[in-house]
Order: sequence, then structure tokens, then C-alpha cells
Amino acid sequence: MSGTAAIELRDVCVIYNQGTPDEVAALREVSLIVQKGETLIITGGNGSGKSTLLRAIAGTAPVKSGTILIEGTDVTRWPAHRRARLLGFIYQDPVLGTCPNMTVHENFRLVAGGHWWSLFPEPLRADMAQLTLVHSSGLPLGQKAASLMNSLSGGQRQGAALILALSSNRSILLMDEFTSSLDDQVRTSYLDIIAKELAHRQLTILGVMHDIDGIDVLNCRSIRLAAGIIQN
Amino acid sequence: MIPGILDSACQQGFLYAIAVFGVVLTLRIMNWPDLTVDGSFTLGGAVAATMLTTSHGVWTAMALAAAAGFAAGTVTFLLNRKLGISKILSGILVMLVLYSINLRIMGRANISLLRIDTLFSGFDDRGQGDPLRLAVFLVITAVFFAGLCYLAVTRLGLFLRATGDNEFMVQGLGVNTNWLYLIGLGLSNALVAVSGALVAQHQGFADISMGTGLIITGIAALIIGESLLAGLASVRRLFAKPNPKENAEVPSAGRLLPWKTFGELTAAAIGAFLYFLIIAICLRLGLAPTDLRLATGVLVIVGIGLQLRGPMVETYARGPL
Repeated sequence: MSGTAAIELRDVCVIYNQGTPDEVAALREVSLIVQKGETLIITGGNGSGKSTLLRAIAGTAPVKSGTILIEGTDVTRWPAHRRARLLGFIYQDPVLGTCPNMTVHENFRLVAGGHWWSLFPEPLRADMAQLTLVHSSGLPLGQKAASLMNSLSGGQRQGAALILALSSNRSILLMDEFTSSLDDQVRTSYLDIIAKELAHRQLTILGVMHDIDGIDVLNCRSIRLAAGIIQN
Repeated sequence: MIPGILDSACQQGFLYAIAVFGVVLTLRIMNWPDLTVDGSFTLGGAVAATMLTTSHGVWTAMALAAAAGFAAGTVTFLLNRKLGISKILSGILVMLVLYSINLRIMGRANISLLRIDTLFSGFDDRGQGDPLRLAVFLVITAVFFAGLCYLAVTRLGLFLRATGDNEFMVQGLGVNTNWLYLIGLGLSNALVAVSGALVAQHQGFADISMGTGLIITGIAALIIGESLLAGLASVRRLFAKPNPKENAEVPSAGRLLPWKTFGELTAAAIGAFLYFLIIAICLRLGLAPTDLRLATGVLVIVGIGLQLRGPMVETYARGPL
């Protein structure tokens, strides 16, 4: 099974502040499988462990026990930056997914190809795949290319973070309530961008949301998490 | 001939500008207030002076000074990233340790370089205020300025800036940010050590206390330069005609260059010169050398105040809408 699954969790436990009076079991023996090309949305209330589940997969939450496999490889002991070569992440807060004091163009150059240690000058043009995504999003990112990222509105920055994550060519995308701060119109347009990308290439999405109303366009499966335990 | 006060400010300002470039790299680009520089400046001077007095060549001495500075930055990096000690405390600890190491290297508190061949020996015959002598200092600083501007436009420079801005995003791209912090801190302290080696050769001695307060000198110079550039930009905006099409146009390739970093490096170079000019004027006006720290502190406070309150002043200057 693990050979075909994009993401597989086996009895994963995450405990915060272990051994202190503030000890919290955020995930309790969670097991789940996300197949390649599948979109799975995890719903649940505040404090249910949704975001912790994504962070455990991304390597930024302390996994006490259990196994995490990405595309069949055991990554449980891998550091976050190594897992990030396999995963894209869209945060609820776009500030985390972009460099606020760098220009829009520089943010886009970061996810374009090439080794980070290269001592050759960076081209002063955008990547073609990124340009296509920017054009389809309707965001004024071309005109704002020389502006600082923090000069964009919250919605525009979230759109930029989405395009950055999609253009990084990862086949697995983790989305942490990324539409929660968007109005209905912007939310619909961003979900359309994801739906087009899903139709265009095999992309596996694991997202968390409070509820799944209005995301039919993604044709997804959903499961519910409560108090760190999968309910169905 | 160049007036003595201007000549002195240029010579010192150009050599110290290289150290201020190092401060820019950590403080502004890597977002790491690195106090190691107080120790690595002296380290550069100590290594260079010791090498020169033991009949080694100038370039060997300079290269070893740079390597020693890089090593000092590496230790600060290891204390923070591997032991979890805070950035500020890591720098203070290395600075403290370097005091004893520098004394060990020099063997005493002061090494004289009189009658020793240094980088500037060929210009000793020329008197103070000689334009050619000054041009040498200018060229040395310009080489480092150009090198750092080039670094800023490379992919490595892009990732160094991104790491200082949002480490999470860089990690999210699959990059181990430890390497970037190591390069940033090492390079910064290497620049500071090279500056220390040049200053020791210029003044004719290396002293155990030559780096004391360098971080404040660097910040003061940077703030003076940034305040001047920000002031010039404010005046330009005040008299500029509004262009309604400005935001509608797709920017040209030239506007996509890292102008923010270029500006910070320019501010460092101009600020270092102005800092030493202001200090020289203060001394000429009768300020006691013991009050120099007070003057530097006031300069930093006024500079930061102008940076923080400058936009408010500009709004008042524009008057009611």
C-alpha cells in the first residue's frame, strides 16, 4: 500500500510540552492514507489537531511515536527542509509563505529552478510557468513585480503564496486553512486555480478546514478530526 | 591638495566602510545583530600584524586575517544553531573569548608596524592630502563594494536575503538554512577582519582595544548613511509630480535589481566617511576624546529617531491634503 500512497501515517502521536503540567496530546495514534492524485480535506473544530497533523507531516511538530511515509519513503526522522523537497505548504497566514521585505519578483525567483549556491546573476525575468499562473489568477503581480511583498493586500499575498507553492513543482501540497481569511469571490477564484492545476497534472492535496462548504470544485474526500482522533 | 580633516575622514572612512559592509550583511541582510565583530576586527589586526612582523607577505597576512574572521563567525553560528544559545549572547561570548585569543596571537597588547613593509608602505613618501594616496583607499573600498553588489544579484545573494527575511519560506523550498547562516556570518566577520588588518597597517600598529565599540561605530555609520539617503528620497518625493500611470506599468528589468541592498551598501560607504568626518569636526571644535562615545551614542539616537519619525515629518511638510 505504501508504494502507491502519496502520504501515509501509521499510528502517529504528537505530544506538546511533554513531561510538564501543560502536556497536550494533539494527535493520538492517527493513521491515514492519501493516494496519489487525491484531494483529502480534514475538518474539525479549533484545537482538534488539524494543523498539527499537517505540521507533523511537514516536520515542524514533535512526533512522539508512529511512522510517516511520503511516496513510500519513511521520512519520520527527516528534518523539515529535507521533507520540503517533496512537499509544498500553503499557510493560513500568507506572511509565513512569502518574504515580506523582498519584492514580488524576488519571491518568484526564489521558487524558480537553480541551485541556491549559484554565483551566477539571477535573470531579471519571471519563469514561464509562473507567468501562466499569474495571468490565470487575475492578480496584478506583473505590475507589482518591483514592489515589496508586504505592500500587497492580505488576499493578494495569499494568492501570491498559492502561485508560489503551485509553481514550485511539488507533487504533494499541504494547505492549512488557506482560504479562511478570504472573501467568497477571491476564495472561489483561488479554488478555481487549484482545480485547473489538478486537471493539468497529478497533484495530491491534503488540506485542513473548519468545514468543506463551497469547495466542491476540488472534488475531494473529507474526514473529521476531533481531539486528535480521526472520527470517520 | 585635500584639506587635512577631509583627507583623514576619507582614509579612515574608506577602510572602516569594509567593516560596516560586514555589519550590513549580518544586521540588515541576515537579520542577525552580531556582536562578534568587536572581536573579529581586532582579530584581523592581530593576525595581520603578527604575520607581517614575522616576515610574511602582505597578501598572506590579509588572507589569514580573513580566514580567522570567517572562523570567528563560524563559532558564533555554531553556538546559536547547534547549542541553541541566543544570537546576541553567542556574539558576546565569542567577542569575550576573542579578547584572550587576540592577546595570545599578539603576545602583548600592542604590536608596532613601523619600518615593516605593509600594503601602504609604497605611499609613505607621499604627504597627507595626496589625491593618489586617497585614490588607493577609494579603490580598495570600491572593490569590496562591487563584490558585494555582485553577490546581491546572484542566486546565493537572493537566498541570503530571503533567509534573513523569512527563514520558514527558505526551509519550505527545501534549503538547509544553516548553510546560509554559516556563509553570511562567516563572510561578515571575514570582511570585518580584513578591515581590521587594513586599519592596523594604515595606523602603523595593532592594538588589543582597536575593535572595542566597532558594532556601535558600524551602526552609527549605517544610520547616518541611511538617514542621508532617506532624506534625499523624501525631498525628491516632496517635489516630484504624481504619476498616475506609475502603478499600472509593468516595471522595467532595471527596477527589478536589488536596489534595497545596493542602497544599504551605499549608505554604509557614505555613512562611514561622514561618521569620521563628524568625529574629526567634533574633535577640532574641542570635544574631549573621552566624550567620543557620548557623541556616537547621540548620533545613533538622532539617526534612529529620524528613521522612525521621518515619514511623520514628511507628512507635516506636505501640509494638509
